[in-house]
Amino acid sequence: MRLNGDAPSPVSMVKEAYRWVDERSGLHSLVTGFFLRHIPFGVGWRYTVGFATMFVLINQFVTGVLLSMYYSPTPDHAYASVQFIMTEVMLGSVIRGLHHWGSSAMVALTFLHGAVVFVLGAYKYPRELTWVIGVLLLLVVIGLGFTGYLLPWDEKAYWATTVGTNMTGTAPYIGGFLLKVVRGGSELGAVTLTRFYSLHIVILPMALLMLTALHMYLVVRQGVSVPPELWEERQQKQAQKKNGGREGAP
Amino acid sequence: DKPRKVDMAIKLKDGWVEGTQAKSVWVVKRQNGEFAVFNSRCTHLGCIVNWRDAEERFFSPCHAGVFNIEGLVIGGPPPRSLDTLEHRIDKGELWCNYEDFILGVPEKNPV
Repeated sequence: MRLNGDAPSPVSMVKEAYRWVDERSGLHSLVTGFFLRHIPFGVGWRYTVGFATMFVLINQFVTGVLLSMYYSPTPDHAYASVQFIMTEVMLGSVIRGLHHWGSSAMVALTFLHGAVVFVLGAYKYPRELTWVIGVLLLLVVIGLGFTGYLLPWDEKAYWATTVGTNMTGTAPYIGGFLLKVVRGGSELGAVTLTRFYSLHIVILPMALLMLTALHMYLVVRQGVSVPPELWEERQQKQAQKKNGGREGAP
Repeated sequence: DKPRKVDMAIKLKDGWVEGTQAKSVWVVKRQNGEFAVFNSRCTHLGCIVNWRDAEERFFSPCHAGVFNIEGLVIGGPPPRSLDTLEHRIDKGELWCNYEDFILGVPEKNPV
């Protein structure tokens, strides 16, 4: 008879599984490389905005995937499918709510993250490329917000998109052409809705994932920047090291 | 005379959908018996304008564009007056050629 004392605990089984994967993939170095990376002295709450943005992004992905299993992107069914999610799907209203409010949080945090990076001078060498990718990420996030807004196909969505695409039409020379490209025709209709849906769940998320991966790779590789209040101090320390530890002005 | 809103359903092939689109015009009958037919979209960014009897003006609900009974802009951001549509009287009925024009710009060009 097998004694219970010999049975492995769930915790040790998970640990063993983790070790098994790490032995074959080097997973542990990735995990420590991200979660246990070196942070300079003097950081504070300002430095959490970037991760907060990524956390909301993960929320949008998860809630978005769940919504996409019930939402129907045609004018005949879009509104009814959203109603169905709100009233008859288990926790549907919660998931839709998280996605709706999460989108506002995403745009706000993306702007805030950019503002904090700017104010802290963290876009300077060697982080210029990270900044450029960040600007592209901002544009993709705004695009996701605009395309997602149309999907419930209610009055607000329809007219906001009418106004927004009419704005596209005011561009000089190519305005009329661009308007038809964005709308999928001269009118707002079924083609517009499916076009926006494709942008919202395929094209823009792919761009977002690729840019985010690049952005995070650069952030982890270059490390967190030193707070600007400590730049002078760091300059002095580096100068002292250069002079072989001698005192006096560099 | 008071402007009258006429709603219509225009047959439209919207991608794979053979359906109708709801459009509307504002019809004004003048003193001399002539008609003016306006495309009901505000020339700023396309919201449907509404006539208010009390102020005798067309109001756009989105960005506060204001037009008078001639369709001229008297307030707000619209860059040109309400778009007039070609029309004719045929056997006692008023027919108009419904067209949409590019909005937000001073020139009147069809979409």
